[in-house]
Amino acid sequence: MKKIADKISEKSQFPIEVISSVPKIEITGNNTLYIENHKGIKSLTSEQVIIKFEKALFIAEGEKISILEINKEYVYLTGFFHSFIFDKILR
Amino acid sequence: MIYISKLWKFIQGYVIIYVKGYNIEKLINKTVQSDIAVHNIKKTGNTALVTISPKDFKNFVKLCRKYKCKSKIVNKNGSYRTLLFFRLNFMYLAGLLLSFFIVYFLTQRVWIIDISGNSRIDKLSILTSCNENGLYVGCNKNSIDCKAVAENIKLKYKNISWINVSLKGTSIHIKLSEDKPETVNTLSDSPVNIVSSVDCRISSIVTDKGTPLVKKNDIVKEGDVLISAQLVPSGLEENPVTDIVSARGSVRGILTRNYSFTIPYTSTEKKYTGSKKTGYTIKFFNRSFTLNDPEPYKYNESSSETIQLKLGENCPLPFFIIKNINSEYILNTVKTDISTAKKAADKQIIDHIIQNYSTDSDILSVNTKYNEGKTSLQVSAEITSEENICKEIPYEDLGGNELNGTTENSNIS
Repeated sequence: MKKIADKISEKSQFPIEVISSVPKIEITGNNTLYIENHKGIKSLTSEQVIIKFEKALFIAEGEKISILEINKEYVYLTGFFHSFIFDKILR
Repeated sequence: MIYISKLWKFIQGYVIIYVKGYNIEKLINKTVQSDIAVHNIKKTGNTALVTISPKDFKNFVKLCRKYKCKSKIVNKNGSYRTLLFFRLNFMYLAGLLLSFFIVYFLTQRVWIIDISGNSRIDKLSILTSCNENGLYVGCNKNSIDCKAVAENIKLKYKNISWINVSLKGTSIHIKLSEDKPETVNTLSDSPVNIVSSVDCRISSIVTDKGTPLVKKNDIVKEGDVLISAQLVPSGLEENPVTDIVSARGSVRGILTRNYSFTIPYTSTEKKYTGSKKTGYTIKFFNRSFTLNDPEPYKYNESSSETIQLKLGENCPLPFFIIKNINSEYILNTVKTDISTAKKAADKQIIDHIIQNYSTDSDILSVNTKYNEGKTSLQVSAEITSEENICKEIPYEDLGGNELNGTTENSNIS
């Protein structure tokens, strides 16, 4: 499935995150984080947030972390982020 | 984008809910899956503050029960709450609308007419011309035709070469430039002598027209003729010249002036105590309303500050707040030592030179003598300078040629 999506993306020059559920993460400065194609929140505290993806986990650590907006498509996080970890396989 | 989203949420209204439980993350995930718009989630420990729209409130409470979370409304807000507030507080709404109307009314008027570039045309006469086109302080700015005002002023004053009338906010800017005045030959044709304005020693003499009667290092007195209007022909002139001309030239002389003064060893100095009393006056158009007028101190220094209310840079309003600040000070007697007094004396000499000597004067030397008295320092300075000493006076026929001592006038043809 992944390979097909990759090929279509390459041929049609369509963004890969539109065709498949590959996560898209945008970081602006150290205080805003925009994540697309998520599968929910695993853990949330004011110091750490763990976001679930289809085949990975994304861990953001910092201070005063809060979710500004969340829906099926994206999560918009604010706070003062220190570090980001992209942890593959969890299942 | 996020601000538009915030505004939309405010219009829709929102409820801030306090949630307590051990499955808050699961609750949020389920809420998202259930298409309930949720935002501003702040979680600490097993509690969280969640903001949702009022229409989703019931569904959210149901989910809370399902995930064994306790929920409690913390705050409700939104446009409907604001409307309810105004409905209950009608005077507040009326005051708000009135203030909006006043601001709108004041921004539709012209409060400043700024005229620049005029040198010979009086500002008042330009304002009178503007008045003919309906432009005056306080007029409606929408009724002003800047082009017509500019044309009217240009027609009225022929010596205006360029004019621009522009409206910026509540101020009108009239910029104009006038024709250069016709150069009038100010040099009088009547013959003049150049005489010395002071007693001095001549340091240099350059003659453009006339006959020089002095040379370098000559000692002259005030009123002595330096360049005579009477020409002495050499016989080599190509063009015919008259024997009496208007003398022109530059003569510089070296002279010494004395400047004496005393610097007292004790002086009084203002020391501010820091106590201040501020009075406020509100000025609306030409009417002033004093809000409070504090009593001045015994030793008082007053200053005022005027603040004009503005809506941006180009929208000044006819409201002024005048701050009258009374500051208290005490007079301290300060004793100065001789070295400080000498420094003050040197400064005073420099100030004296700056004020009393022209810019084309050269200061050659300053000899300062200090006489230390009991109560004051007596200072006398000898200032030697080189200056332009020319002074024009009308030529008087003395009845003969002074140069060769004869009584016959020189005939030049």
